[in-house]
Amino acid sequence: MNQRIAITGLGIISAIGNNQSDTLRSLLESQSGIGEMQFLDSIHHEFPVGEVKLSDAELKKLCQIDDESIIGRTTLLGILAVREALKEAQIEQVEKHKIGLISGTTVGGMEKSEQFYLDFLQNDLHNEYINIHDCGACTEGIVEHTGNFCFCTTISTACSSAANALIMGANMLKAGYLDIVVVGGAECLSKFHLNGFNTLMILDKTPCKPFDQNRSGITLGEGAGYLVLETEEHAAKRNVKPICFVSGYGNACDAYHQTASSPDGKGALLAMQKALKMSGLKPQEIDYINAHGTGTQNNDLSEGIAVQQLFTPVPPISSTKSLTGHTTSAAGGVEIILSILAMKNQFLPQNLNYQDKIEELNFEPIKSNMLNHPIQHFLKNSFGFGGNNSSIIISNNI
Amino acid sequence: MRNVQGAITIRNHQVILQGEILFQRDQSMPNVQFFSELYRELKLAYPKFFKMDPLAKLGFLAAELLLSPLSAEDKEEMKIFLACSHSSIESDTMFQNTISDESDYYPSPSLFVYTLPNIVIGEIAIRHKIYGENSLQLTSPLNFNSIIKTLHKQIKWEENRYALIGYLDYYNDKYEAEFYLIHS
Amino acid sequence: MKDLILELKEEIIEVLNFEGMTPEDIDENAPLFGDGLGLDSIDALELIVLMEKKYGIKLADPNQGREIFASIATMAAYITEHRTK
Repeated sequence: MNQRIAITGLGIISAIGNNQSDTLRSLLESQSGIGEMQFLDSIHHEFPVGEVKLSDAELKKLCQIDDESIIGRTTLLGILAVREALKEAQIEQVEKHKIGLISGTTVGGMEKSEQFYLDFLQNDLHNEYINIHDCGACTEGIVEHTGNFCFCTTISTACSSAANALIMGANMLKAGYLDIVVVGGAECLSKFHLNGFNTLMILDKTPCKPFDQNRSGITLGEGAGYLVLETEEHAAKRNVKPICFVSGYGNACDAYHQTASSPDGKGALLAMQKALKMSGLKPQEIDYINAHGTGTQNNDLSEGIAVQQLFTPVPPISSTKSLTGHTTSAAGGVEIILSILAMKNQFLPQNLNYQDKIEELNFEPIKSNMLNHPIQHFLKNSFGFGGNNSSIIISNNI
Repeated sequence: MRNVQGAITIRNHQVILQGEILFQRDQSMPNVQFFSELYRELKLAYPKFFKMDPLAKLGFLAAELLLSPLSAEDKEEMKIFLACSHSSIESDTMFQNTISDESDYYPSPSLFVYTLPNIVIGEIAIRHKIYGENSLQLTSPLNFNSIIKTLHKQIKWEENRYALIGYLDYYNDKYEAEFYLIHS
Repeated sequence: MKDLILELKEEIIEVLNFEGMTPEDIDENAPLFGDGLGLDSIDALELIVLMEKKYGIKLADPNQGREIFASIATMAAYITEHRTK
């Protein structure tokens, strides 16, 4: 039995596009989606953000959901991306398959809860929003509007949530518990986590500058990214051509600090080594690295040190957070899909806003889009607070 | 072949380790005081414990009792897979209270850190120097018994490795933890 | 100054959750980070909040904190000079 994990559908929405084709266009033109806050009702306009360029009402319309429905922005983003992924994978009726949904989110329904928080405490005007507060309620909301999945669960490991959803999904396919699994994550902006990252003093007042010597923090973004996974054999049986393959993955704990990455990048290095080991590839066979690259002093140095320990020389590397902002729990899904779009169109996406090399590192990120550049295998890093580090290797369908 | 090498439950101010009551206090005691008394009983010199939120304290204590017989080598590549149902709601509420009043707006970084439910895994890993695979999922408390079974299915098992799997939750002054130490 | 030092010790014990510790346990000249009280980066951020909340001092750059938070004594000196409340 061919156990290779095939990717047969992609769905994406972020600051640079509401679907795959818009996203690809922005990516090819290096068109950043970062700008002044339009939809998030926060006083912190000094921080640019990567917002999806649609209001909740517009998102509902796009989802064909009644404007009066009680539904959060994270769920709406998730519905759009899951639907796009299912469509591409030619799954019209979810209930006809042994199919699961594993979704990563951490913010959940917080953006509605914070809006009605004082009401929750003082009156019963908006209590219906309490029911959609949970992260799990987001996943259930996505299921309600996309199909009757036989298994669903929610992963919450901060900014590596979507990547860990992919890992769990791939494990469940290999173990034969599911035939198909939709994996990824969704996260909208909230005042809650904008304020939280601000207390950690790691938000940039200009669009983030990953891997730049003078980088000064994260630009928060929002979005959703989901992938349909199934074994190569199962895809063949359904007569669906794989887009590409998951050839390796690894997760490791950094065991250093609640939020900071270790100075030697131990967790990141272990995760990349595990992913390479599973794929059977040598470091020099990786054609592109889509970095976690948040733009903080700490992450980019720690990740860079780990990368240059494993790769000599370091392959072309970029952080596409410079285009989308950091979509937190959705980042693993969004950024794997951006990288797959680049791979399928044979170019290496630029790391925007980069000027000067980080002194301690021996490599520079991709300074402008490199066209006509085939990618056979790429590695995606996705790290989360709690020291949760994941790496995933995707291989082209040749 | 996988086998359960240890089990611990902490609920209703009672700690049951390997089926035997190890420690208990009157249920009228505030939860955080119960956690502190258990910490002292274990004679731990780990002052960072007091900085943790209740969910992290609960997970930390359960892991401490279950993992203490293991060597550093056993723990280094251990996997940690936990599930909970109410996520970090205690800390979420406390952090929200620091930002919801304009006249008293001082968002707290130390509270924000614990608004991520997987920080409990980070705390356990830091304490025991565990570098293995880890994840946290949010599930319904209704299928509590199946959570352990489901977690079993979702992990890629390797030979001769330890895994810490379990369920923990803290909500509205109610808490529980049920952890297992598995060896494959 | 003596009052401020005692006040700071009490504040730090409370804000940073030093369970069971009393002001007498803290030497105002000992380093707060590293070998002394063993504070970490999150504690430093919490001290920045304390500076603003209690003394009306806004620190925009976390690196600024390194010198100010060297010890209770350096903190007290800085507060005395810059406090707005």
